[in-house]
Amino acid sequence: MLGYLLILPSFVFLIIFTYYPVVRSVWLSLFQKMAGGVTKFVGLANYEYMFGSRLFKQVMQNNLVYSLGSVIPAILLGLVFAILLNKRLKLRGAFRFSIFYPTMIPIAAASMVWIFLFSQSYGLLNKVLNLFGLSSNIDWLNTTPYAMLSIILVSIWKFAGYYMLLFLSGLQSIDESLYEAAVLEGANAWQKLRKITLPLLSPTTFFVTLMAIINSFQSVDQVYVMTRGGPYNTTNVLLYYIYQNGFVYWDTGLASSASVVLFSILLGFTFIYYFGLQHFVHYER
Amino acid sequence: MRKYFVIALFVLAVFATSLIAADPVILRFYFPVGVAGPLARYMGELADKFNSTHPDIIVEPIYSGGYPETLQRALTASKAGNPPDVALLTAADIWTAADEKIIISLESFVESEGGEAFLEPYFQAFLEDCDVAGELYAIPFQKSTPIFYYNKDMFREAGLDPDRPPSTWTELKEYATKLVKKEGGNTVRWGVEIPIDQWLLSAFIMQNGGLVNNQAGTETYLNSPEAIGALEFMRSLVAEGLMPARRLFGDSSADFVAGTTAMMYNSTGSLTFVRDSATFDWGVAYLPENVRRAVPTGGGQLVIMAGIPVERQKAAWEFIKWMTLPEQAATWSMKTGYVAVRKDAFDVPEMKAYVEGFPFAIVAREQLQFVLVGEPPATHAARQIARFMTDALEGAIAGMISAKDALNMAQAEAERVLRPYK
Repeated sequence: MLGYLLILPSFVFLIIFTYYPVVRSVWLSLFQKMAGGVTKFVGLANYEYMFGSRLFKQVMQNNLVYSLGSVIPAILLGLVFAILLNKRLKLRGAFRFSIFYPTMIPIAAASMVWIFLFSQSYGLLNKVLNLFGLSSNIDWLNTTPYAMLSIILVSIWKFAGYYMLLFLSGLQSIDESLYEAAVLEGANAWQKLRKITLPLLSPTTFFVTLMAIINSFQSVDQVYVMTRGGPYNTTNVLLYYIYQNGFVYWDTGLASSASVVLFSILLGFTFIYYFGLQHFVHYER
Repeated sequence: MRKYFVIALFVLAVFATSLIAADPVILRFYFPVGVAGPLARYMGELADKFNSTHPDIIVEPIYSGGYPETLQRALTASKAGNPPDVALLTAADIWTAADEKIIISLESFVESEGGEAFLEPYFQAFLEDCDVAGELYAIPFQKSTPIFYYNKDMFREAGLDPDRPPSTWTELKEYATKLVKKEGGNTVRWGVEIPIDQWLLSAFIMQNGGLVNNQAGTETYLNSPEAIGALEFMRSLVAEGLMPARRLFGDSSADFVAGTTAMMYNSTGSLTFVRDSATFDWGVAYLPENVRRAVPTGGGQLVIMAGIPVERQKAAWEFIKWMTLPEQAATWSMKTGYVAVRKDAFDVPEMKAYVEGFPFAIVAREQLQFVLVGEPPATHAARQIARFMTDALEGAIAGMISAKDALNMAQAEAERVLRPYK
């Protein structure tokens, strides 16, 4: 009884700000908005239109490219940095700080800076590429596929440090004695990594991977600031599509339908997470 | 001690009631800033001037982002039951605001001021953007048209007459071919830049003899042969290497003053920026014509919000009326580069002197005679339709889809969102 009482405050907030909006979105997705704020029940017509539209297909495809393109490199980089910076290096703190630093900058502000770096005529990126003899005159944010590449680069830069931090905490929970035993058995560095570090890190890896995937469906700031979904919708991702339909066109029916799709995707990953925690991941206690 | 306290309280109470009794009407005014420059400061100055001459009204200008954000904020505030009193909206958003019933018709106010005679001084071209299917909902305030900018020094260098800008599409392409400059594989100077925006696609469609929508705002003609021809022409400029594939308004004016494009289409709103930043001899002209000469209008107009008490609506009307008097229209035009919204603003002495020193302001005014229908798309769900047009333009000129397919798709999308309004 006391337990229920104790979770009551957060439960009230969850109902008001999470469960009620979810239910309401599902409800609204069944209506089309008409003139004068009147709505008309249309059943699944919004979904039918959305799944049939070329733009939505492209948006989903963009999101897939963005998710794969940003999640995999960011996790790998985070892991590599974590393993390297877990060793006793000179200036370890400074390295850790500088890699973690992008996480602390608000992404909208960082995107503004990146706009300048990506500029065709005076951007640092083109200048640096030219310095290395690669004659580069790329209009990063205004041409395909470079616009998506730019968005992905910013995401990797932004998130790799955060994943490093999570991996570092995972690494530090691995018992040092396991390595000592391995050394006595004559294991080399590769074997230690392969047989001890990676398996024992698997709960962290699993958690980080799912966080990263969920993150990749929730990030919209850099798209809004840097490309507004352009050129020709090639950087338009699901959350931006929802924003556009909901708050620029006031097509609440369509925006709600897309929100329900996003919600289902995220719910799916959450299930995988909890299911995976119980069944796949190896925990050493 | 206690006695003094009671007296003090009493004095305070009297003071407070007298304050409430003489309470002026407070108007909250949402305004966006659409072009470069310290416009928010100028708006504050304008409001101060109004407040000092109207002791019973206090206007609080509230900066609300760009045009889309202004509508967004006005809509959400209205739906939450706390609307502002006055807002500055684009033509497209006036349709949405009227459909959502968050703004009121101004017909009765205009009637009480003398009807047609009251509207007579305003440029007819600008009044086109103020009605929703025939009913007046707004008064023009900061108005613009696209205008043609060209670099006279580069014209001389390429052997072109600097006093003869291109007047047709054919000449435009011819000149661009002469002006474009390549070094190695890279283009170091573009012939012309046309920002990616449905505004300019509309201009080309109209110049090609077409129209974007019907008067009632329930139909679009995006895949008409005229529209397809217009988009094909724009696409050919990119395909022939005369124009970059994607520039926005700000990019183009930056490129123009940096000398990386010889000609550009841009808003009259950029006149002040180009004047202050260009280090070369330049000129402006009407947009080149094809089947006919035509130009759309753009910019913002003032509306009064619904759901506020009648006395505030009356005060809001006083404010709107004052904002567009010749004096204010002239001041706003001189400070920002927007076209003054009424003819008699050009009789104000300061404006006369300004125009003499900066005759390009006249080119913008004279071009108004070629305005056909205001700012297309003038339809329900206009912002969505504008987006379909911009998408078609972007895809076609990037070479990702043919002009015909792009516009067929845009038309199909437009028909879907317009269906509920038929």
